[in-house]
Amino acid sequence: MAELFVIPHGRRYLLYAPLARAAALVNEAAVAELRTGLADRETAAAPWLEPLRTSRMLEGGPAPPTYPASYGFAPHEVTIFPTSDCNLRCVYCYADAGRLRRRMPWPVARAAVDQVVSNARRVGAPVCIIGFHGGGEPSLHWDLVRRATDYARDLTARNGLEHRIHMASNGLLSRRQRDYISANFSSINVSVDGPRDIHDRQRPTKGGRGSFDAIMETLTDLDERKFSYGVRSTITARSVDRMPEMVDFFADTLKLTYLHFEPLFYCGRCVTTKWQAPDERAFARAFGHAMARAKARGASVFYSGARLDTLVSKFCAAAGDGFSVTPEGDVTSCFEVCDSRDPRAGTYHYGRFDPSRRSFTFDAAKLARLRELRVDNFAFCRDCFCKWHCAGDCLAKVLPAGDPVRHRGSKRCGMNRQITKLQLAQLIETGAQEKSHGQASD
Amino acid sequence: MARRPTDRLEQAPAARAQAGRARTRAKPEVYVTVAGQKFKKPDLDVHFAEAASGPARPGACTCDAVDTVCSCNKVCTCNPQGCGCVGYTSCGCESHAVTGGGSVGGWCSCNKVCSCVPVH
Repeated sequence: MAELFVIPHGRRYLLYAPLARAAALVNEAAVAELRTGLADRETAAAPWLEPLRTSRMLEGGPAPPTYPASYGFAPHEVTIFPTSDCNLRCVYCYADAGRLRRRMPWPVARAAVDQVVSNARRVGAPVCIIGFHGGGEPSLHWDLVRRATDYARDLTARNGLEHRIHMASNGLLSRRQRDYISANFSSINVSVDGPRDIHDRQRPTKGGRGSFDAIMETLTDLDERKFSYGVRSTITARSVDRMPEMVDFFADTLKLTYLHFEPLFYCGRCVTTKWQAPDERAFARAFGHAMARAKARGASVFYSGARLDTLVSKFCAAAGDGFSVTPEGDVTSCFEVCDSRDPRAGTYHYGRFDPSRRSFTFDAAKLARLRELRVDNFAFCRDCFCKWHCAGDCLAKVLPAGDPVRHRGSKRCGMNRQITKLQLAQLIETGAQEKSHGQASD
Repeated sequence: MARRPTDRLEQAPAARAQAGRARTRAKPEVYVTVAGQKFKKPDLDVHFAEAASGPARPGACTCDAVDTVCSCNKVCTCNPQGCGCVGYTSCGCESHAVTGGGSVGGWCSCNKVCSCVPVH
């Protein structure tokens, strides 16, 4: 079946062949002809089809980006969750960080680094990647972060490997920590929710004060050091209409050209704070405005559910590729499932640190099941024009039990589809402008 | 829950399609097409490393940052064994997730880090 889709666009239609990387704006009669007449030799040779033939979109494109039937498990990237403690109390925290104060013991972190270095050597990969991420704020277990970083640097060097260190942080970092990060890390990702009033309301400290000033000091310092960092903003029902303003804020304040927006997902601390996700249509609409604003300012905005420029069959590494280790030594494929008491742990936790062997044991059967969670196995997504972009969306949100048959979409589908269509329409619009300029200059 | 999408050309509502055909005998028209280079990552294709053996790592490439386009126009789909672009002497990886450990990670035949799965 050719991967050719039709999307209503005002009184016209977008014809879209994602695998062929081609799209067209056509009228209703063209859709009718295409639908009924392509098998007809006369229609197939019609002159009006020439632009579609030239773009090769009628051929359906190359093979989809599916994975091999099987491949070995030898990750050379690990994400370490140093602690579940946190010095912020973000109103929407998926992990409800700070409620528990678990800290990863050093032997667990060391075994994680050993594992990826060993794997890299075995498969001939030249680089090992170590990430530090939540549950809690990684920098609160700074001794472990430093020790693991130093250890990874030395071990990779002794083995003739390169290494990269990344961290996701809330940005509450001391000058000494920033000194170390800028000297030893490849990049960090900081959560900032926009202008002060939004940020302080959504991301207060444990003591209930605003965290905006301290975080902006960190980012300004990183700018001065010319250190690579990214910013991610969580959009709530209250802040959704201010997304274009947020683009201006970041463009005016920081040396950023790439902004990452994600809508709040109702889970974790939301259950007690009652903060709500933005309405899907409101998010899509505001994201469209933010796209336009960003374009005008030479920047771009990103949302993980709408990725026109990406062809994938897995939304993320949760489908059996991610190697992340919780403070207790559980191995999870999903960042959002970081507590063994989470009902989803049965699906996404597939291994554990074994203190007696000082290494990890993995559940091969679970891993195999996780690897089946690809969009080509989701019947719900089969006929969706977004399927090779969102790849069925975030598994932790749409498929908590990990059963591909149970994929029934979610509210996010409408949002993902609308924003992807916007991106497509923007491309068409640019194409139309170029066409009219070309005709004008002819 | 969402309604199951039906976007394929074959699923375009027949009645509407026929109505479109019949309506004032409108001629089919293609107003604009965008393809290949107009897309950010043109002519995307996917290749996988052989699971059993590490791919050769010839040549160098220049893309190692967000929003870059691989010089061989191949998308890199990471897996723990390695990643795509195998057999291309000048190629690279795309990186959507530069930070936070959100990527699958991987490596490319050009010796560049590949982090092509977005963070969320």
